[in-house]
Amino acid sequence: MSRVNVSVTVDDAHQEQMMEVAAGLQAAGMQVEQTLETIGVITGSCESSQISSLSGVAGVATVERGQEVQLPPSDSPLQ
Amino acid sequence: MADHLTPTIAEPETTGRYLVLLREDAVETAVQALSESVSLNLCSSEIAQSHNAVILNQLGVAVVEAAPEQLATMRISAEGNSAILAIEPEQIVYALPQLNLSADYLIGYRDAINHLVEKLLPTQQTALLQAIDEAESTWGLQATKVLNSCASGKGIKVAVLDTGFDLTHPDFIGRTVTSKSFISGEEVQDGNGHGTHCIGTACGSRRPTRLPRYGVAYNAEIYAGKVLSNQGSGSDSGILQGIEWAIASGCEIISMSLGSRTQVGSTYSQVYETVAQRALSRGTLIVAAAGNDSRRDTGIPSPVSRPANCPSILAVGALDSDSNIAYFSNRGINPDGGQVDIAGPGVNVYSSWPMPTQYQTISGTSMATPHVAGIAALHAEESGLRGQELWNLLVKTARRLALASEDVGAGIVQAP
Repeated sequence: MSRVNVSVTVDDAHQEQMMEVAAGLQAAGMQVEQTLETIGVITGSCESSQISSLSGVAGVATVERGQEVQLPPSDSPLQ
Repeated sequence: MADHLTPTIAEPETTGRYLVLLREDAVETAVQALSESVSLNLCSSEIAQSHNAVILNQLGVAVVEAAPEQLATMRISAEGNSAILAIEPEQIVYALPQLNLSADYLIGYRDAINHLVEKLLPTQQTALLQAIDEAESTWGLQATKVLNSCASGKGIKVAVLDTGFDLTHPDFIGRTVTSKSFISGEEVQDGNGHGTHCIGTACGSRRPTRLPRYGVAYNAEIYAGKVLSNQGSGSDSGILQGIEWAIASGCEIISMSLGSRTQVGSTYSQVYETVAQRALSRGTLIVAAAGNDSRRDTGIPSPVSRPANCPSILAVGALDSDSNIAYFSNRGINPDGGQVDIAGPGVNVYSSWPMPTQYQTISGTSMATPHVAGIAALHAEESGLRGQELWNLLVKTARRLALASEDVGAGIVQAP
């Protein structure tokens, strides 16, 4: 089992009930870190095997694995 | 007196014959009418030919040799509900001249032209380089007409989500700066330089402590969100928190000189797309770097980075000072939204850098992006437009370039 970061979008109909959606995600195994109400996104982490069960939570539109970004070294002439 | 200044318009040369258009369903009746008025002796065939007429049965056209009085009779027959629809003079046409040159001649010609170009090119390049005078302002501000603009970004909030900001930089003393770090254990203070450079381009001073001027929206309110560490690394979680903060703060523009490489054939992130749509609907435009993965010098363009590849995020490509696409700038290769929307100055861009270095010249779509963000602030101030309407205005006012739209979208961004 491997732990992955996930970003979850809440559908338009549930943007006013972010807390309920977050609770549903927690019940489905996600550790919720941020509930971003303006953009309707919940971020956190879960076991990679649990991603598909998060998609089934009421109010969830999409679930994506979090990605990293990395700039070139700061002394690089190309940024 | 003849007016010798009036240009003469050559009358088309005619043959003395006439083209007669016959009604499609009444060719025989029409031919009969023609025969009576022009006294033709016709036979019926695919192309019937007599000494003074040709009937093209399939086309329903007759070519008729006729004297002026016969023409008048034909015209009368053409009136009313006639089987003859139209009559016009037959014109003489010529084949376009064909060059009949030998391969040896053409190769020699090509070699001579190549030789001439090689001899002239270094001189031309020197002339172009000398033509860009950066003593007063950077080439990027000149190429985007920022210097001529009356707008300053006043009343517009611009968020730059990056490595933070050098809050002690002398060029920003007295400016309204709101900042927040989304990197645990790190303050907003920029330990990298990338963020300070980007904020400098988007929002730098009209009168920096040392010339040249390098900043676009010098009266904009600066929102410095640190979503990348001093080592230049970050995650979706931090970036999304930064976007949330910027929108909740009422920023009209979010500049993101960040992203990760995508593969040919890959699609965009649904999460960022949804967020960007919600941002636009709240009047916030997200601008992001198309990415630097291409190596055009070796013939390899790469697709637009994530998240700039989202349809609702304005993706920015990089140009050099000769309005050529930068060798590293990514291309709109992938379908569904993965295009470059607009281009900005992104090669040898001079801007602010954390003290004590103070200034630095670097290249990248990271540098093109804050040019577009700053200019978006100028348009937002002047037009009052927000979100998708502001996007449309940026695209509409961009200057078209003689470059592929997959590389530069609508062209180079222009200030109002």
